[in-house]
This record gives sequence, structure tokens and C-alpha cells, in this order.
Amino acid sequence: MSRSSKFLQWINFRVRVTVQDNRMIVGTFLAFDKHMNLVLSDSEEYRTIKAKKAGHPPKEIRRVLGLVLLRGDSIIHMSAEAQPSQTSKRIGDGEGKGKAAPASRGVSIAPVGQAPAGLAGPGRGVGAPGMSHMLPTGKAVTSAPTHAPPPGMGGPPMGPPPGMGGPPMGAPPGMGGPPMAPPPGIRPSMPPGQGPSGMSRPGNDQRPPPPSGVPPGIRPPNSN
Amino acid sequence: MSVEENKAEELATQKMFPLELLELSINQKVLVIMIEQQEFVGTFRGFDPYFNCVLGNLNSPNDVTEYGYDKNGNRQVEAKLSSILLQGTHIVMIVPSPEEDEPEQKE
Repeated sequence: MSRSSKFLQWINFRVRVTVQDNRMIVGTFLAFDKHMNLVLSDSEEYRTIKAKKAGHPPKEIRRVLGLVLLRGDSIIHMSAEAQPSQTSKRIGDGEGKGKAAPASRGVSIAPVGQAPAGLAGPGRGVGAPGMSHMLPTGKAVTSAPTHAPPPGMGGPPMGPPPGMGGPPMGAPPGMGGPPMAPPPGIRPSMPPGQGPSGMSRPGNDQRPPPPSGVPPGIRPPNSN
Repeated sequence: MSVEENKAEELATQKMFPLELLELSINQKVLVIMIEQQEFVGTFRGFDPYFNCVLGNLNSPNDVTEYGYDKNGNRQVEAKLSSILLQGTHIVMIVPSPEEDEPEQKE
């Protein structure tokens, strides 16, 4: 165990430091460095003043300093006064029931790794279908609806007119089915409700959710 | 108060070095306590590894206040300065964001 780690044992302790000119600083030990510069929080300074007349006890003056940086070479000695558990007022040290926490504008803080409530998009079953529903299943090959001609615009030269069902190059819009798909109405490989809806492309299920009004907490413009 | 708590929190969580606290205090009011019962309050301008510190603002003549102590241990204003360089070896303590005119409590 190195010397600095012995010093580390005192971190967060309440310590009493005696400084060169008859001062004593009592504070919570937060940090130090190789020069023994110290950082103390919630610190108080005690000075003793000699009494004017002999026989009177010396006067002690106390002053609250708060956060203090103490220069290392003026330190004479240092001793621990109390365990950190007795004195610590740090946030997060004493978590438990009844703990007060800062609250902001009604937005609950989500756990790490999740979006905050209200920003996570629609829940299950709302909005766009999930990724698993959009993956091609079975022997289906991803179709390319981008190659599909717009309705009424005619297809590529080799494709038959829409509605005829046909070769892979020109699937009509609104179907987006796999190439070599059977005629409309017969979709043996896909259960109803899970097929391509004709609106989305494979692998592109990251569309933003449909706008569902105004987000909570934000007033719509010109509402008054 | 909140600034102080934030710094304390940062120190406690990130294991900062003491001199990094000084960097956070630049351009803020600090109290520098020197040996021989001498204190300076002023805007903290900068420091070096020897703890030499510059306080003050050249544009305002009374930015730095020098305090001393009388025989009874009462703090009193000794001088008003615009700017000062303090030698690091005479510095005992630096207090970031000291409370203004903190009342002395006698016991």
C-alpha cells in the first residue's frame, strides 16, 4: 500500500489541520495532491488569540470558510476527526425512502440507456410496425418498391401493366410484394396483417411516429 | 452556495486535484489567506505552479481589499488595491467564492 493510498483512506473524513500561524482548519477532506495541497469543504477556521491580561483564558475565534484550498507547505499536521458516514452530506450517499430529489418540469428522468418519458416514440403496437415485422420472412426476397412505377405512369419497358401481376422488375405500387409473388389476394407465405403495407420499405422502419398532437408541456402556438 | 456545492460535488466524484479547483475559480471572487495574518479578497486572475496568484482588475481601482488583524484578533480593512501579485510561498489558503463580509463568530 503506497503512501498516497494511506492518505486516500482519509478522503471524505472530517479532518483537523493545523497551519503554521496558530490556525486550525476543520473540514471535510475532499482532495489532495503530491504537494499535500488539500481541498476541504464545509470548513471552519479556529484562531486562538492571546488574552491581554495574564490569567485570562485565550480567546478562540471561529470563522466559517466553506470550500477551501490549503497550501501544502503551510500544513503542520493533520488528524482525522470523524468517519465520513457521520458527517457526509453528499448527494447519493444516503439514498433511501423519503429521500428528497430535485424535480424539474414534470418530466420523469428515465434510467440510463432509455429515452426520457415522452421522447421514446410510440409504444408497442402504436404507429409503425416493429423491426421484426418488417424483416423478410421465409424465402421472400426484399422487393424494391423504389423501382415500382408510379400509378398510371407505366412501368419499365418490359413490365406488364399494373394489376397483371408479374415479373420482379415492376411490382405495382401498393403491393410491394416479393418478386414472383402470386396474384393479389393470394399471399400464402405471409399471415394477414403482417405483409408489407405498401407504404414502407424493408429495413426502413425507423420512421418517426405519426404526429400525435402537441408534446406534453408545450403549448401549441396561437392557442389563445 | 450552489456553485460551491457543484465544485464540491465535482471534486468528490471526479477525484480532481486541488490546483484544478483553482482553474475553476478564475475570474471569480476569492479570499486568499496569507501567513502573518494577512488576507486579500479580489477577483482571481491567474496562478502558476508555484501558487503565485494575481488578483484584481486593472480597470477598477478598488477590486482588491487587503485585510489585517489587530491585537484583539479583529479583522480590519488595511488597503484597497486595483491589482496585486501574491507570492506563492506566503499563501496559506485560498477560499473560492467567499461569503461577503462574513460575520466573525466569537466563542
